[in-house]
Amino acid sequence: MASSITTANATTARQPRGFLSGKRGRILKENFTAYLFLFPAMSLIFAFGLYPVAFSLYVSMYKWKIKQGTFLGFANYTKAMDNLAYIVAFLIALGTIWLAIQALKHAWRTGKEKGMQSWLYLFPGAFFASGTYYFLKFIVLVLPEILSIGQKVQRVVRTRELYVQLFREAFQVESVVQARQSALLWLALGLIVYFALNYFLKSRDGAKFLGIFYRMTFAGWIGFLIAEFTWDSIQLEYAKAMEKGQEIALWPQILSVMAGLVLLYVSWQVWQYAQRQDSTPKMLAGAFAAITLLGGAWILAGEVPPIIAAGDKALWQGLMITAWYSLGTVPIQLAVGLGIAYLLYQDIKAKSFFRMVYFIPYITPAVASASVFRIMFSNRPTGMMNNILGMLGQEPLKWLLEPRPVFTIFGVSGPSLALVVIILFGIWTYSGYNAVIFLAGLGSVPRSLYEAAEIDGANRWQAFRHVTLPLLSPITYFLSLLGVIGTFKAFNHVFVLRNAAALRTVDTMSMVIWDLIKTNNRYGYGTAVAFVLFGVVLILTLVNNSIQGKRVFYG
Amino acid sequence: MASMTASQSSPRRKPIKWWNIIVYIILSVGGIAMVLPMYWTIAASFMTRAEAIAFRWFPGQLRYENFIVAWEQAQFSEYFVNSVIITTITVTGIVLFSTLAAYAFARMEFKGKDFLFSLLLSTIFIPEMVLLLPNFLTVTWLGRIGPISWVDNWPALTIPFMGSVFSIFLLRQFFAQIPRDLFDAAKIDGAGHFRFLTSVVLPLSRAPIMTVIIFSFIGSWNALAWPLLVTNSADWRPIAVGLTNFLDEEQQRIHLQMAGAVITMLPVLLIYFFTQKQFTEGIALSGLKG
Repeated sequence: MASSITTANATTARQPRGFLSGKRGRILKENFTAYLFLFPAMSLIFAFGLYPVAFSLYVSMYKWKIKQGTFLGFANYTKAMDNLAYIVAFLIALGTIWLAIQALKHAWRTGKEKGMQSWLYLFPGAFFASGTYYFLKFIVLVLPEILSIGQKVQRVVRTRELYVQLFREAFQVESVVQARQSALLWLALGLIVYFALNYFLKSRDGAKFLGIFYRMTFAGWIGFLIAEFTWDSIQLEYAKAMEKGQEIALWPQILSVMAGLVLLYVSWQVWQYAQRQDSTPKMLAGAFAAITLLGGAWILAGEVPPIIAAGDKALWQGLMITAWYSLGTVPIQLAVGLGIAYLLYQDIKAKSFFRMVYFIPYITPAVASASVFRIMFSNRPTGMMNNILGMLGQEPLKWLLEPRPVFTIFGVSGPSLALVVIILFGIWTYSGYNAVIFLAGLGSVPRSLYEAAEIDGANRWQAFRHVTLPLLSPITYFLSLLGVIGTFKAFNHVFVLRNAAALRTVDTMSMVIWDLIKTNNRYGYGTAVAFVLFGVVLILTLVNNSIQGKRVFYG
Repeated sequence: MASMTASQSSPRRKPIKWWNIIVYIILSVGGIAMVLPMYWTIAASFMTRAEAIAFRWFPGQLRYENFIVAWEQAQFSEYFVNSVIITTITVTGIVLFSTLAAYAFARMEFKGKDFLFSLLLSTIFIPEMVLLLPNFLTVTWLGRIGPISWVDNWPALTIPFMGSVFSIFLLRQFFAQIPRDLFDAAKIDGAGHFRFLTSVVLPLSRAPIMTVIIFSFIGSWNALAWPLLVTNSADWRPIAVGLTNFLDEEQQRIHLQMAGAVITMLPVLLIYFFTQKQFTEGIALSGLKG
């Protein structure tokens, strides 16, 4: 038996014959095997890494306290950040429509190149877009039905028939059936038209045209829907205010914030333009950029604070604390890490021993090391830090129990002493990690560059400043991005080191969300706040990319 | 690395002496700051309560009883076993699934490869806090629908972690470096992808797989937020959750808390000491390529 299989394999390898043979068959088989290999990991990543993002967007639109409640639309978001929610929604709609316009431009250009008949693919593209829309609608409608099965089978005898029946019922709710049929209809129509076009036009770029028009119509449609939904929500808010006999100025507020943002954007663009010009136009453009920048900043400075004041205090405080935490940890841990790496890179013995020692804090379970920090920075006069203060003749401090800010500038209070302890913990943990990565980067700097610098008469500092630092810039960039994202993710040590006496002055965004979800069971609102965090992380990544990414030197 | 340091010593040998002494001093001071908290944890775990509260640097006499008390009365034995089981299942799953997926991304041609890979990488920007609640709802639902409960049971604590983007990425980087000729040779011998993976790629990739094992071990051992959410009894509570609970309940018994902290750290630190070369290299690899 075994031998016959081997011979069979050998023959197929040499003389392809049958269904899964030939070039096409090999490609099919390769595709199939690849998907089989990917299936376990990808399905888990999809189920627990990607799908939850969409699901939490869904949850955040509802009143949801343990059990799903009524649909609220943007209400959770407006509770979190007041009218900023509408502005963000409009910006997202604009972004989506911008994508559609980009696709339109693309279509226009290809149309010019390949003949206007490519525009006929607009029809199947639009049909597919429509099909996708109804398919999404189908998912959104069927989801609560399927979720409710979990509750229905509690305290009943669970049989296979029951499950089959419940699942069938879930898919046969009238609205679900309608959405499903519309989706199937549009997709089928799209397919037919697409193949017919391919057949009659004999075009080889059919798939490409279809892709362009699909993107165009789908992005445009979704953008329009978001804008319309936002518009309706705002009108609803006006209607509610009318009923109560209140005056609200939603539109002026939204429009002026938008205008401020537009001015900032224009200023940025003009500034970029000015950089490319010669002296006189450069000055003029620069001055114009400065004026628009000031104008935009002035409008935003007037409009944004009241919006923030009307939003959720805990959220803004959490963002502020996270910002302090980032500012306190990331630059210092990068500098310390680079310093350690530079020292370790010198011609010394016991290099790997030191590397091991510096790495210990990163490796130790944060729960365990944070529990030690709790005791080291305890408020007892005999605690380690208070002991040291006592030796220096200072009064003992309350450390982790101290909610008062350590400094105040321009009315903005800085981090509390409790947060400073957590910042110290962060620096202590991550410096060694940064050092190891910097050290690997230092190892990849070519020796010849240092020799060249030495011949040019550079001293140790100059060589470091003009050779090492620029060559390390990609790593610095990577580590700073990782560090900032890390502070937004920080959970374990903050959870252990927080104390009720610190009056929430150490509660970073993660803690605020955790309290909402776990302590208060406010699922809908908690996920809305989590989405705000997600948005902030995305914006920071983009800004970091566009500012730092340009200055990074990839040798 | 070693050869580079040897070659770099030659050009400037004379002025280096003083500089080296400064380097040693700074590195030693820094190193002491790094291990001081660890030292005190271990020291305090052998102290009496009074000694620990007074923050002595050395225990008057080594009290091993602290460990026995923490292990037995504070249920650390139970938490420890839970963590061992959870970690073993998780790491096995990660290694198995990530190897397969990484091989597909590194060595196979299929439709939508670039799209799937960029989709994979985009997940690293998603904060855990966004995923926490929907995943909790999902596992609750899965437990109600399926034959066994997921919440407060091993599936919720292990299965969601088995799709590890980081491990796939790390292994893919390594697999892609294996020469194509090897594969072509194996193909002529009649070996398919799976045979090639098990008989050629895996034996060559001991180091990166070891790195993945260590990383996922530590990740699983240290996990806190998710286990806090999905466990509600000591039956499946992992050690990180056990220690945080113990910290809240026993404000005064510092010496026992430190014994618990030592029990929590010990497996991780042991693994680190035995594999630290691979570990630091793995970190550097992942960091540089990311």
